[in-house]
Amino acid sequence: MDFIEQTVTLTNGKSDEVILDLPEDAISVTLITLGAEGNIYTALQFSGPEGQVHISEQPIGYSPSPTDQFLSPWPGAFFSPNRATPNETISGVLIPNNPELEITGGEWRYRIAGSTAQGSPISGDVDVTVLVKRAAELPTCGRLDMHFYFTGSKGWTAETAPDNPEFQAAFERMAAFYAPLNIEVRAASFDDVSADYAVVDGIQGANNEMHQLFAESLYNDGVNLFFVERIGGQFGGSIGGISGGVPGPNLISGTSRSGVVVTTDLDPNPQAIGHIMGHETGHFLGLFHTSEALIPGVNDPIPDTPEGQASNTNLMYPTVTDGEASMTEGQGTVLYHNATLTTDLGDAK
Amino acid sequence: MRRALMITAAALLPLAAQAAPPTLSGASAHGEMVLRSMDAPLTPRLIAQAGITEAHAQRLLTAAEAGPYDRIRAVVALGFFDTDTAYQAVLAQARGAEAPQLRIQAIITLARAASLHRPQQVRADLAALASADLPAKIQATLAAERVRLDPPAAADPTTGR
Repeated sequence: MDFIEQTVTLTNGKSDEVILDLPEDAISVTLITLGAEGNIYTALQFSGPEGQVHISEQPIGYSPSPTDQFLSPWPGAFFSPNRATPNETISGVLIPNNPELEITGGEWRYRIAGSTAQGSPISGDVDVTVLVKRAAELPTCGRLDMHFYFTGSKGWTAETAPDNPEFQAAFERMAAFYAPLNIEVRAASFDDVSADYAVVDGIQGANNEMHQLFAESLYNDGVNLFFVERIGGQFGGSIGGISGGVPGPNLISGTSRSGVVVTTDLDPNPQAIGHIMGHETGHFLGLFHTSEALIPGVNDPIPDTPEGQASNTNLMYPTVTDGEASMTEGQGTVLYHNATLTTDLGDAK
Repeated sequence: MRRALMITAAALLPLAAQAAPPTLSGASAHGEMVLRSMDAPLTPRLIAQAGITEAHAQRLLTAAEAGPYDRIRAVVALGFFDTDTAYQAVLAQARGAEAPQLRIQAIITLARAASLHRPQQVRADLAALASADLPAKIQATLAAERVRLDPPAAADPTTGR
């Protein structure tokens, strides 16, 4: 794995092309833009040495519609073969996040775009972290380390959770989603955070409560997952969980998006909690909803996931269930590309 | 030819609607997805855009197959409808829902959503609720939401009162 840090200059909302010389054994790239608090960023272009255009401002076959601006200030990037979504402050994109795309060695070029929350183009420098995952061939297995943080919700603490039957049931439920894809999920660490975070009411705007919680993350490997009682919002409109991004800032701890948060009290059934754990972790690793709740008719870019309501037994369908759920091989392929998954299985268990 | 295709599509539409699996709320598949979403905060605007009605939220709240999380989302949605039936449904959950998390959600919904439509009624109903013998966690939520509704006046720095 190569970890490259670059400074990219935006002028009137867009950067020039930045060259990325990828080694022959590169299998994926994760671009993570770490910008100014409250601004919105996305990857606007990612194109390769053999004419590949994985992300583009104007992808082939895309016809802009007036409502697309509600979806993203840069709808072309969203509708690109490799979907790139905008995010506030820190924005990530995994390439490829579509199993039909590949990365090859050679000279690739990318561009970053940024705006204020109100949509005005911004100028100035942003930091971009580039994760290049390297392997002789795409792995078909992996290990995922989970770092758990406890606010005291459900009575779970760093000390009690490892032996708590309900926590174990939730964890086993989560691990069971990944096991059929030969991904071993391991509980790598247990830490407590302040009980002040047990109820997260602020989830929007600069330096909100959820961002402060994510900034408590300690580990640069695996996924940092925080348990809270409930997540509210402006109208107390409860939600089950949130990921720091799709993907989140993989392998970077301590930022306002470095983790996922899962509620334990909205549905205290460990099977439901385990479902949310698996789902939000899937987002953090780069999986989209099979069918988007907020954007009617938009499905994920993975060919073997059913579309719309037909995918309601998929882990990445947007609703909570304590019933059957699974992931497809295509989703597994996206996960294998993610730099967070290690293939160093020698010391597993 | 184009007209023929449109007619065929129109003729098939009812069949497609019949073929779609029913939703717990009776909303469209997309509306149901929004209503029961795991990670999308419900707002009045989102509810309206998704075509979710009070009847859909009422049906989800009472559906036998609905899970605890679904019922919480139904209560949140009901809080956005300014009708007596929606208000009474939320109030009933605040007063006596069996699941503590649902009671807590109903109290929060009254304080943060229903109060936008009928502030005095919410204040009176929450005050009445506070006089009841409630489990500690529900009492704590109720107290916090009442303070949120009516923050104590800041002391006058010149007098200290």
